[in-house]
Amino acid sequence: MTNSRIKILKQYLWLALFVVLVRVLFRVFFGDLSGSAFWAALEGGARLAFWVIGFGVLNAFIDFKKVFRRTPKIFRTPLTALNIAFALMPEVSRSIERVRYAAKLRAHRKGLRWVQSVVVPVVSNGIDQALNLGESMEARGFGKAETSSTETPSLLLDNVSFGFEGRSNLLHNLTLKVVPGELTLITGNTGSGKSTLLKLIQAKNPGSAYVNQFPREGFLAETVFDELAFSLLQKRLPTAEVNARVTRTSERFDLGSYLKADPQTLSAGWQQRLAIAAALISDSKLLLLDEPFSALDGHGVAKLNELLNELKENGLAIVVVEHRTELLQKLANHTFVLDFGRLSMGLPKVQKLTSLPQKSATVILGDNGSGKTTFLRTIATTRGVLVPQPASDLLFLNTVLEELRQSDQDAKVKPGTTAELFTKFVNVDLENQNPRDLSQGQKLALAISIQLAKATELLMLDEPTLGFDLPSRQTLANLIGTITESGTRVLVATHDLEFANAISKDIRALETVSVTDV
Amino acid sequence: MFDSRKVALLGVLAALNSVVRLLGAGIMGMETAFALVILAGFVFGARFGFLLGFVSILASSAVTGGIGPWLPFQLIGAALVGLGAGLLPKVKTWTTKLVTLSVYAVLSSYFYGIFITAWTWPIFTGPDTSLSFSADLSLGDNVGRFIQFEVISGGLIWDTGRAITTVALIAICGKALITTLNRAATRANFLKLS
Repeated sequence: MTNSRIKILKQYLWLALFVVLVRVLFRVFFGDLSGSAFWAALEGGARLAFWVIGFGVLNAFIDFKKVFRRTPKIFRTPLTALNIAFALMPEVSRSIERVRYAAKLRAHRKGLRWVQSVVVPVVSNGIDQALNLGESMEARGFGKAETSSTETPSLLLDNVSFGFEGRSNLLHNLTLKVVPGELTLITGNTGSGKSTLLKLIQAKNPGSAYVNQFPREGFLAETVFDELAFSLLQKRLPTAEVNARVTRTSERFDLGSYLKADPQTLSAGWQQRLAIAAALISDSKLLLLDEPFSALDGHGVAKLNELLNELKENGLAIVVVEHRTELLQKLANHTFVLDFGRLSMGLPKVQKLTSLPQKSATVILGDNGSGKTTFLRTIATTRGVLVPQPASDLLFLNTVLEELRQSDQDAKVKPGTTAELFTKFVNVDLENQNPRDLSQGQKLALAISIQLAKATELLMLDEPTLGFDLPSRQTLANLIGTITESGTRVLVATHDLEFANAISKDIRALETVSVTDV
Repeated sequence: MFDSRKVALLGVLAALNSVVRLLGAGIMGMETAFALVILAGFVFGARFGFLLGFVSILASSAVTGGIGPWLPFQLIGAALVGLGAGLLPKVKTWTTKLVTLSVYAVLSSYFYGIFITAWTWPIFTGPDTSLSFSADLSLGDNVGRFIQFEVISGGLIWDTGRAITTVALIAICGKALITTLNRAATRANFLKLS
């Protein structure tokens, strides 16, 4: 702080000097040059400089970010947006850094092409984040009248059908009841409408606590404290009560020691915990969770199970949408399968990844945040090609076809090489699609094809299964099988043990390997 | 009142603009942020564009200690640029879209420059030089002096730099960014369940 104060003051001193100089120079060249006029100009300049320095002091000693952080009563839209902007600047800087690195991984571009390969992914990432953020704000009561309900609704859905305009119904005549203290698990295949169903429950039960699949992208404050307080501030509660409730909730969720931390820098497990705490701070009795396990490593999964158990004991009704049913089998009181828009009772048969016949990939296993990315980046400086996480950071053109052609050019291979690889991995025609409209798995396949076109002996994948459901993980495992068969070595860094076991006999813990070993 | 997704979008894009403005400070800093204000205004409408210009400048000024009497001019200037982009005709084909936006980018770059210079002009020249504003002169003479000041102070070079970077950004990233922003607009509506 003191450092930036001095920096700001210095800037303003230079500005003051500049203003005096400009004043005098204009007088010397364009005014009359008598002595008294010169002094008059100097005096005028000095008076201006005095003002400039005054504003320098003001800027150095007042933190304007705090001034604008007051609970907005008027100008709510711009002031809320302003505070989001303050909170997300560090995150945006990180995103820019990540995409710049990804752009370099793909090809050494210069000039406008380079600008394009950075700007497009950065803005696309920002927009995805904004949509998730908006959803999380809405769920926490932004722009709504008082909707807090502290009673447990028992009938969540009463014979409800739902569809998007212009399409046939997605969900048919659904009825769903819950009991306080019980956990209801809803499962179903990708695209069965699980997430839509959960959003529908949220919409029909105002005041319920809802956490979507990407808790990290739902944060909007600079500190954990402000994150927790958001929903209370929307209700215009008095400051004393806000503070009391934030303190109480932070103790209940063990977040007390993180109150001043930036939510974006917490581990995935703590982020999930914070998101749940922030959603429950209004004492809602119904908790809705969309795929809460998707970003968690083994340790995080255990912690979340503990938390859910505790919440159940406290009398909360919980509804979880999750495809990894095995993780919740002990906790779930009821399990439903959503299929063709209808709910049916009972467990689906447990689905598992099928192992590859030839498990010849190498896996580096490590928890989230343990340094896997740095490890791969170090190797990539000397050999091999790297597909970063998320793989979409590599994509910046308007159609798949353009991406494939650009890739041929970058790799200096004969036209069609990348396309040939891509069709081997994905057997649907996607050439005219926007790369950003592809599914997660297809985006990854495209990124892999682009990197493989460079005829490398080593392909590295950073956390490739993050956010993938079972079928996509299976497809990826098979794809890795195809690549290793063709003679390219594959090195995967992941926290996904099941996936590691399916593709590799050579699994090493991150702590035990050095860069030269692999 | 915007819905939560528009507000979130406003916040994220403003954060992006501020970071870009900070990164590029000194080397045509503000200029790179212009393209996104124009494109977002064009896709999401005049109100969004106005607010994005406004919030972007306010956010980066508050962070870098740039609050001062010049700020209102920068705020309104950038806000008007976004507002104007939202009022552009909704042309159909890509070529006409990009041409319209590029022409607007040039015009608004100079407009913004003139808007800011109108404030710095009397301050930098002081009274009684042959470039100063004078209440005794006719409008035409004052405009003449203003233009001389623009040329001599280098403001025109600065504005031209801004126009070139903005047009270049729109030309190379415009299509991809408009598509992305449009997807956001449809997805924002699509995700709303009632």
